[in-house]
This record gives sequence, structure tokens and C-alpha cells, in this order.
Amino acid sequence: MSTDQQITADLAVVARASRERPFSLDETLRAVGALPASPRAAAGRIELSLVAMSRVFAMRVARITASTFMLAVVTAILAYCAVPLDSWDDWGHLDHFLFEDPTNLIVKLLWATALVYLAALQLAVTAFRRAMETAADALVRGRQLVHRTDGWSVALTIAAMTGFVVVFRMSRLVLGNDGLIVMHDVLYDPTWLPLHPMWNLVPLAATTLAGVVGGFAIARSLRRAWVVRGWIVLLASAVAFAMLVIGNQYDLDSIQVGERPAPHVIRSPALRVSLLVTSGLATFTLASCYILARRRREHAAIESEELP
Amino acid sequence: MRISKSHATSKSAEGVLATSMERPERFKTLIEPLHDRVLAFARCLCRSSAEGDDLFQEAMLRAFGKLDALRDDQAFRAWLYRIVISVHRSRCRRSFWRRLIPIGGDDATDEPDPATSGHDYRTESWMPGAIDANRRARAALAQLNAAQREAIVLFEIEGWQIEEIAALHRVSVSAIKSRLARGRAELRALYEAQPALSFAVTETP
Repeated sequence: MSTDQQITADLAVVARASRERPFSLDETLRAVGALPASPRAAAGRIELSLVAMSRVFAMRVARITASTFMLAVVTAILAYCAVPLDSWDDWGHLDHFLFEDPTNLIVKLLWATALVYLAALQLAVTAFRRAMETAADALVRGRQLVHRTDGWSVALTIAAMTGFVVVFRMSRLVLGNDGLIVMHDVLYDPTWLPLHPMWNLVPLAATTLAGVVGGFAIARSLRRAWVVRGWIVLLASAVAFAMLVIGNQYDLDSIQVGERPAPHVIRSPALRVSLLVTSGLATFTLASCYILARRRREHAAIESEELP
Repeated sequence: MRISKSHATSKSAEGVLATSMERPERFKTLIEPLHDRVLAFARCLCRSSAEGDDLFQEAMLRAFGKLDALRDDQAFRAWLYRIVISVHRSRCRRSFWRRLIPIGGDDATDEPDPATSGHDYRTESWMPGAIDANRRARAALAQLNAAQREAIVLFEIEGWQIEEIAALHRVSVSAIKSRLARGRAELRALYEAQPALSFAVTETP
């Protein structure tokens, strides 16, 4: 078969595929508000549109969050690989972390952007759902709201990140280097506080949380075929988790209640990466299964909906 | 003067009311014969049917909202396709993120999902080869620029005449011919650049 014939044959397949499972005319008319609005029709429209709109909205959100998260992970891994092992201890210094290492700063900003975006998103989604519930012309209004809330989330993120950078830059100007050293001691190495040793686990918990958030975001954003294969990923993540736990047994043993582990243990890149990867994979799998189940329920709900 | 103005206002209000009452019926009458074809066209323009459905809905909303601006019902078909194309172009320009991580895109979700559609494509017309072909062609189409993609889809998939496409885009016939030729050449180059992908579908004996 020549290439031209192949293309023609493939385009014919696309043509056939695009005619699979079309919307019904009533569904389209109902979506644009061109059907008489009996109470039942109105209720059905709102319900259907909520499902449709929430999916569109979730897709946009997941896309942005997952992109930011993936950029952060890739940059972090590159940074980990690029820095010689002897210098791990230097990574803890706040001033170094924020100002002297540009790669590190970018990573931090990316992480922060993803997290702030998620926070801004929650506000937007809450407003979105509330408005959708009271919208009569749900689809039209829903679309406007999607654009608006999406815009607000991005705007809030940009504002928050600008504030973040400005505050730290200003603090450096105001406090000077000496002030920064004090700030570093206060924030990073609070030996002056009578803290319980378990507080040392906070950075690791934060890393795990980041993995959970990232895993969930990626699961939301990936294609359906991957979601279907969630069980394979679950198996792979279990194996990866076992290997990484075994590999980091020394580090894990060192973190025990009642002892203050050495800083290098807490800062151990291997431990952090393993926590990030395993928590991310596990959450990805669980989220994939959950999303798949929810999509099935949504489809069942839509298909069982009787058109008026 | 006041009376006539008031009369004019009430007449205008009646007109708006009448228009808003008639619009759904008019839209339904006009869209009915074209509905499935326009949906298919929107799906072909996008990399996945999910995005195609979204494009279609957005175009329908726009068409319904602007229906009063359409004076001649005979021109509805071209007018509607033009709206789809316009929405498509604006979406192509829109988002960097959309291209960075195509959502539900790579799997070309026209293939019925056995998990959600309730039927198994492997036993019906959706043989794995067809899924590969669909995915491959959509991936290649996505590489074309919007104008070439629209021309190829209209001509090769929708079966439009070149003159009709030229009228739709308000360009010359030779411009459409050029788009078709370049689009086809680009598709050929894309297929030939990836022979493993191109001929992943082997003919079954």
C-alpha cells in the first residue's frame, strides 16, 4: 500500500470515527437553550451541564497544574543530578536556596505556583459550583463562568507569586545579609526551640504531600487509556515503593521518635526523591481508579437520563 | 412624539420577544439536517473527540446566539461552518498549556471506551488496526496548520467541492488547491518520516 493510499484509508477511518456516538439533536438544542424549558427539562439541563462543565473545568485545571508540577519535578531531578553530593548540606540555607542558586529558585517558584494555583482554584471552584446551581441557562452561563473562574485562578496565582517574590526581595533589602542569616536560623534550623524531634519530619511530610498533589494532578490530566491501565501502574508503584524503601532503609531507621536525626538525613535527596516518587505514584493510581469509577457513574447518569 | 417613541419601543420589544420565541424553532429547523455532519466536522478538526465535542458546543452556542444576524436561511450551512472554523481558529491560538499536555487527546477518544460505552470495540467495527489508523491520522492532521487542516477535512472527509470550500473561506479556488496540495504533501512527509508508525497497521491475510 502506498503512502497516499494509506493516508486516504486512514482519513476514511477518521471520518467513520467522528460519526461514532454523536450527540442527539435534542441534546444539542437543550444545551444551547433552544428547547422549551419545562421544569423537568430545566432541571435535566442543569444537571447535565454541571457534569459537562465540571469536566471541561477539571480538564483545564488539571492541565495547568500538571504542567507546572511536571516542570518542577523535571527541573528538581535535573538539579539533584547536577549538584555534587558533597554540597547537599548547603541546600538547606534559606538564602542560598532562595537567592544564590537560580535553578533552585526556579524549582521553588514552580512548586509554589502549582500549590498556589490549586489553592486559588478551590476558591474559584466553590464560586463556580454555587453559581452553576442557580443558573437557569446553565450551559451558556457555565461556559462564561469557566472562563471567568479560570481567569481568576490564574490572576490569583500570578498575584500571589508576585507577592511572594516581592516580599522576599524586600526582606533582603530591609534585613540585609545578617538579617537573612537570622531568618535562616529561625526558619530552617530552629535549634533554639524546644521542639519535639518529630518536627524534623515536617520537610519529609511536605515532600510527600507534594507527591500526593502532583500524582493526583497528573492522574486528572492524563489520557483515558492510562487511567484504564491504572492497575498496572499500581503494581509498578508497589514494586517501586518496595525497592525504594529497601534502598533507603538506613535513612528511615535513623528517623525515630525520641532522637533528633542528623540534618543530612532529613535533607537526604534519595529519601526525598523516593518519598516524592512513591507517594506520587500511589496517589496517581488511586486517583486514576477513582476518576475512572466516577466517569462511569457520570456516563451512566447521562445515559439513563430520560429526555423530556 | 413621546407616544410614537413609546409605541416604537413597545413594537421593538414585541419584535424582540417574537424573535426570541421564534429563534429556537428556526434554529431547530435549520440545524436538524446538518447536526451530525457539523459535529463530525468539529471532531475531525480536533485531535480528540472530547475537544471536538467542546468545539461543537461552543460553535452551537455562538450560532444560536447570533442566529438573528443571519438573514438568509439558505446560507445557514456556510454560515455555521464558518462559525465552527472561527471558533477552531481562536482555540488554536488560545493556549500554550493546551498544547503542552493534550487532555484526553493522544488517545483520540473517538474510539469507544469499553469502560464507559458499554460495548467492546474489539468485537465490532473498531478493530485495533482501525484505532491505530484513527490515532495516526489525527496525529498527522494535528501537525498541519489550521487552514490546511480545515481544507483537508472538508475536501477529503466531508466531501465538499473545492469551489464550496473557497466560497466558505472567501478565498480563491487556487488558494484552496494550494492548501490541499501542501496539506497532502505534508501528511505524506509525516507518514514517510515515521515508517514504523505509518505502517503499524499490517494488512491481515
